[in-house]
Amino acid sequence: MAATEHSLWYKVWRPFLILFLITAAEFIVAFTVPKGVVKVTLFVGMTIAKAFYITAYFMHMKFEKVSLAYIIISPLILLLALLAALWYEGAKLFHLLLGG
Amino acid sequence: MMWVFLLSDAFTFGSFLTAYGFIRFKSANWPDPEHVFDAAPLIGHGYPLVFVGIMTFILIVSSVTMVLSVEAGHRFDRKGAAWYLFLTIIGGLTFLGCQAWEWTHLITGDPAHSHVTITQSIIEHKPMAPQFGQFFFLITGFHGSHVLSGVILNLVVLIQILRGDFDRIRNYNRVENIGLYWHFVDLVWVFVFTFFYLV
Repeated sequence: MAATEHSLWYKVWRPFLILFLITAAEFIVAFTVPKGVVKVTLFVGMTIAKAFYITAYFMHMKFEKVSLAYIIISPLILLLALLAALWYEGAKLFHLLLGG
Repeated sequence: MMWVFLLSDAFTFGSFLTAYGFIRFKSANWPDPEHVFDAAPLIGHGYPLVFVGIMTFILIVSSVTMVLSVEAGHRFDRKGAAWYLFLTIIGGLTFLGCQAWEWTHLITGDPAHSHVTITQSIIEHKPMAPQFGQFFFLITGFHGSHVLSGVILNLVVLIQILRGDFDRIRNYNRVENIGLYWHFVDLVWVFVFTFFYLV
């Protein structure tokens, strides 16, 4: 295991601290930034940052073979494309059926 | 194999959250999360997001103890792995307890704060979009059942650690696998937390 080369600080406590700080920042944003596109964008960005630290460090994807990351992440990118298409289609159907 | 299973599970949660986002986008009277989730045990109402903040913190900490357990397993430290896995189980149970409290609170409501009664909204279609409660209970329930199965799996592996199964075969891979599952549950919560409680 390559993971043993790194210190516990690097593998556990630093990511934990970052996750904690991002969550704290989320609360600050929740109470200060007015509702709107900016707020949602900030939240989504911070969520993806948290997701990165959990998968890269806690699930130690960062310390595995690179091909594993490709295997897991590429279907998720395709999933995003599918969701965008479904979203578009769903909006059209809503419009058609409900006139909304 | 665990990674592939988690990928498929990510698809399930992804489709739930997308459906939720779509319906929310289309609904006119979607409730403000800061009003719905403003209660906590002992201190009462008027503290938005405090309780869910505690829940989020508990889950992140339980992820950390899980990492420490896996790390102890790498060193064939049986006691360390068992101890940290035990702490992880405690964290998971605490999270489930918090969720049980929150559900109870949202279902039974509070006469002084009728806006928190989600079940009423599902039955009577007021004062909020009925889909709010339907999606809330579907998605947090699905996540909670993942936490519950994670706790059960952790318990099984904890017994196996204590019996010395993994020392006998000189292989702590199973701790690593349930660790992956546990972190995934934490990962899903990060998304649920953002899209239900914050946005």
